[in-house]
Amino acid sequence: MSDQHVTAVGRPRRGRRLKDRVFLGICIVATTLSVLALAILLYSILRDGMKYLNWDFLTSYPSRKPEKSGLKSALWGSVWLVCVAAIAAIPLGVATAIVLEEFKPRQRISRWVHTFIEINIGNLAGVPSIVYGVIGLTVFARMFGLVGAANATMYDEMAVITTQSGETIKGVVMSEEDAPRLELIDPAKGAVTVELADIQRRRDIHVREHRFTLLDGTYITGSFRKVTPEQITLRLGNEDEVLFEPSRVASYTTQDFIQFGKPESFFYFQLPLGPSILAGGLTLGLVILPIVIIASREALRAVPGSLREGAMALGCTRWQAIQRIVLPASIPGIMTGSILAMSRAIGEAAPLLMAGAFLFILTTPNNFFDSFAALPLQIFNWAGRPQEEFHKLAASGIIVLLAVLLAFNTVAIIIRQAFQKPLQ
Amino acid sequence: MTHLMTHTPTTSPQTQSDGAAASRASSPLGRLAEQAAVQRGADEASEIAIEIRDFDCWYGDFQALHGITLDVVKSRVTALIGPSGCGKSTLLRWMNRMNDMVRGARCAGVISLHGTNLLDSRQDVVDLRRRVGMVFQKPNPFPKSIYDNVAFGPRLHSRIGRRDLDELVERSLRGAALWDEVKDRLHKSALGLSGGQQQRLCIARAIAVGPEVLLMDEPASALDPKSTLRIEELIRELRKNYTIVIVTHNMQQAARVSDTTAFFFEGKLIETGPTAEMFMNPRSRQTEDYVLGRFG
Amino acid sequence: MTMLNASTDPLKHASETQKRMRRLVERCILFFLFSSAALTVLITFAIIGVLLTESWRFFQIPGASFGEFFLSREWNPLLGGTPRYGVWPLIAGTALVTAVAACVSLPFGLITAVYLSEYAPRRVRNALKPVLELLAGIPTVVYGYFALTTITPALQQLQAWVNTAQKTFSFLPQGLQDVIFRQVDSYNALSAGLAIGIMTLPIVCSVSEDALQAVPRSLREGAYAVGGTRFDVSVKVVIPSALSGIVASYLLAIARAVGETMIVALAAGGLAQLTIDPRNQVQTMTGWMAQIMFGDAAAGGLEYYSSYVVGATLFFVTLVLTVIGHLVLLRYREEYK
Repeated sequence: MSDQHVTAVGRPRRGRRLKDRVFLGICIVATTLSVLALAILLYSILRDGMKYLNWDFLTSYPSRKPEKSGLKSALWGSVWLVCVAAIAAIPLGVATAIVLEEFKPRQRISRWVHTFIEINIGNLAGVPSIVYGVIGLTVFARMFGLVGAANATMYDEMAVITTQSGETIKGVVMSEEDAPRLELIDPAKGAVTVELADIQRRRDIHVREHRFTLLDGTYITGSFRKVTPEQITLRLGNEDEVLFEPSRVASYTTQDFIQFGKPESFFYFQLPLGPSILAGGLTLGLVILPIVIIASREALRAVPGSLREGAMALGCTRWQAIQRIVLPASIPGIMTGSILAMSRAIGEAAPLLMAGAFLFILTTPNNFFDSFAALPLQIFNWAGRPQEEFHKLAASGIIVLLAVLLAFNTVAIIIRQAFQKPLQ
Repeated sequence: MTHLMTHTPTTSPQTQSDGAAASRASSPLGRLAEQAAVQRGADEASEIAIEIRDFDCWYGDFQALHGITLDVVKSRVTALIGPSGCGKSTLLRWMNRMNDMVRGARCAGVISLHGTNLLDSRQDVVDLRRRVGMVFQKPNPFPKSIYDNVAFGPRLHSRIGRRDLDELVERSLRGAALWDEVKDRLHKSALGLSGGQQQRLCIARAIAVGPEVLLMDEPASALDPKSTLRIEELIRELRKNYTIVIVTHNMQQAARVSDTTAFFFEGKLIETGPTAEMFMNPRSRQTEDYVLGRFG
Repeated sequence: MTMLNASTDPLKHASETQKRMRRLVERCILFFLFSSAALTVLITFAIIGVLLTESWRFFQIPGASFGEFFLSREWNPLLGGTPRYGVWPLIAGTALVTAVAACVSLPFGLITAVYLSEYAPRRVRNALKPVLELLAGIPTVVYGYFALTTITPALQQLQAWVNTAQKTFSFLPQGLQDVIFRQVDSYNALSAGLAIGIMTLPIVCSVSEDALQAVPRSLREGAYAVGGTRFDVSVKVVIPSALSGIVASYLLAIARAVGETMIVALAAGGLAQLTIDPRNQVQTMTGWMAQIMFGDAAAGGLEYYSSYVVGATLFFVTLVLTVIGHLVLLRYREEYK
């Protein structure tokens, strides 16, 4: 061992204290910039959005005129959508979390399955929301085209009119403004005008597929692209369009959706689901499912093991222990997680971009098969328009959206605080 | 013993008769007696490395140390002993201002290193820690190579050429009695070493920056007995070049390793003196109780 | 005196049928639970299945070929004549936007995490963490709006200001001048990228901060004890120790940026082109899918199926990034056991 006292060698470094100070400065600047970004964002939205923010805004429907536009349909649509998403995702997510946390496997094979499921959920959490949108479109809205032609667009709307004389006319409504008349295009017969007084009964139906037999014997199957008295433009499978005059049509059949009930009533049901609230809500449910699972797992994990052991020692079965001890203890955490998941669902637009989802919805939903509007979609629509005024509307919509999110998060925090003590 | 001051009234220390000493020469107590005799002779001309005068400190509202006054002699091993919670580690951590990083820690009094009060707010803490090194209870090597661990400190303070650095690393590792075991794997991860080796690496790391004082906070308590003995041997060797202050809850270790012992209890310095005296002839009743294992 | 019998004695076991009922109910519940868990696996398979089969259908349609998709550099499906379906412009668009986002979120996220973990006093930390959570919780349409209406005009202003100096730099070759002084498009990758960067910054920050916090205190003390400044300790000891967690945060943030739709749909434009100048319009994979799904494309047509192929590509890219990110995270969690 050396007897030498180990002394420092080399040239001493100067300015170390300065370096430390400079680095601290950099850190503070970087952090401040991050916070500043948020501040600027909020400020610009408030500045733009205050103009149209008033009670009318919340209670009117969107219109072509900015001053008259409102969020009513979007708000209600979002409410319905989130409800569907919650009903779909929460039970499923909590159940999966229970399986993952409470039924930890001991054998090797089960452990492999367990890890596999865990990895899966990690992946699902990372899938871009638009991919969920595409899946939702294919699986829920179109249902793989199993129920009906895969080639058709979502649906066309037609009116079926029974006149006083008992005649049935089926056609696309061209114009209702020329009251007391109604103009229809019956693809087989051409333009038809019906007096409103003549109408005994009118039923609007959703039609999925139109099949025309032309006079020369050929068939055309497709959906309407454009219909005028002189010309019908159909969209077909792989090719773009076919134009023909109604006069060339020999006969014509349509394939309705499988539907029960009237579209206006609450108990309407149809297959395939179409771009309906049900399809959109289920898609949103897919998006938030991983979040619910992860949050519920945390909540279950927070329940001390001693509680479970105590229950088992008293002779509970697995499920009884879960049902009576673990679940009640973890409900606040699960609720918090679910509320946060729902707040995520309200803000998602990409999964809802389904072909056929309309942005000009002027009604609140009647049933789960109605077309939907949603808050973020409406904002997206307004923001995407070139006119300045619509941008301001978008900002107002954003303020409403942020307010709703704030409300949700506050509720979640309150629940978390309120129930934090008892477990300790 | 004129340079040692304690709170309890002094009574003249007992001197073992030579005859009695000779008959106990082979026993541990005998060795202590010898040490004491040697030290008494050498102590008269010793320099003091660290002077602690009237030192108090608090964690928040809790006062951890009361009026500590102690001298740490240069090139000697001073042991701080006492039951847990008595404040010995706290005092150690104030000596290199590690407690600056604890929220709510404050102090009053003076701790001087060679005349300058190191508690002064104008003191360059970074430089202080170069001069007063510390080894911790649980070995804490960085997740880097052995070489980089030792070279870490010197690189911080100076710009050193590669060859000089290699030399410095070798000297430090030799000084920590680790060189022969690691010279062939200097660039492997330090985490691959055993517990005892890691602690010696931490010692090498500490001495690489060329400190005058080495503070050791229970350096062997996390190690197995064999490694503990090696560390104790190392400490006795290091004494030649460094002033060492060691905190230990193991009295036998203090007896084996240190020249001077200070006994703390509930934040107060009860007694201090040459190790042999403290163990064979403690002045205070509390010291005697602790040393004989009646509590602690 | 009341006699204890089966109906009044609470301790008496339930009758056989009651026990059997209970067991049956419990079996059903367990069945439900386990099928739910199985369903999540099914979802992944459904996603992969749908994407792959519909992509296969894309390549069956005359006009689209495997080779062209992966080799051609033109993406012009809606331009009459012969539509071209080479995927690289879309990937380039996604890459450009993601690169811009990474330039914002990775450094700023890490430095903010270092500040929060190593420097910030407790009060500042408690105040800042909710702010960052807020940033993370803002819906992406809001960022898209912000990019379109605030960032883009600001960039255009900035460029205009830079352009006033063009005369002094007229000595530069004309080509270089054209590059430096061209104006920012009203739809451009830069704004979208910046907005995505701000959006993903909290991801980098929170995961990195967890990683930094997980570094044991003893390591920091060891570094301080040899005379390290806070800078030395943070940069030379703590960050290297937390490196795998930091890398994981980067991967997760990038995966998020790649999958972002609304921001690019609003602010990045719709023109698919191969370019490295972020001031240009670009089309990303996600933007294209949004355009198809929300637009007028004929169901069953080439464009319609193209969204599936692009979706499949997108899915696999994000899958790889997410899986690697999680694996790295698992590894760093084990290091400190």
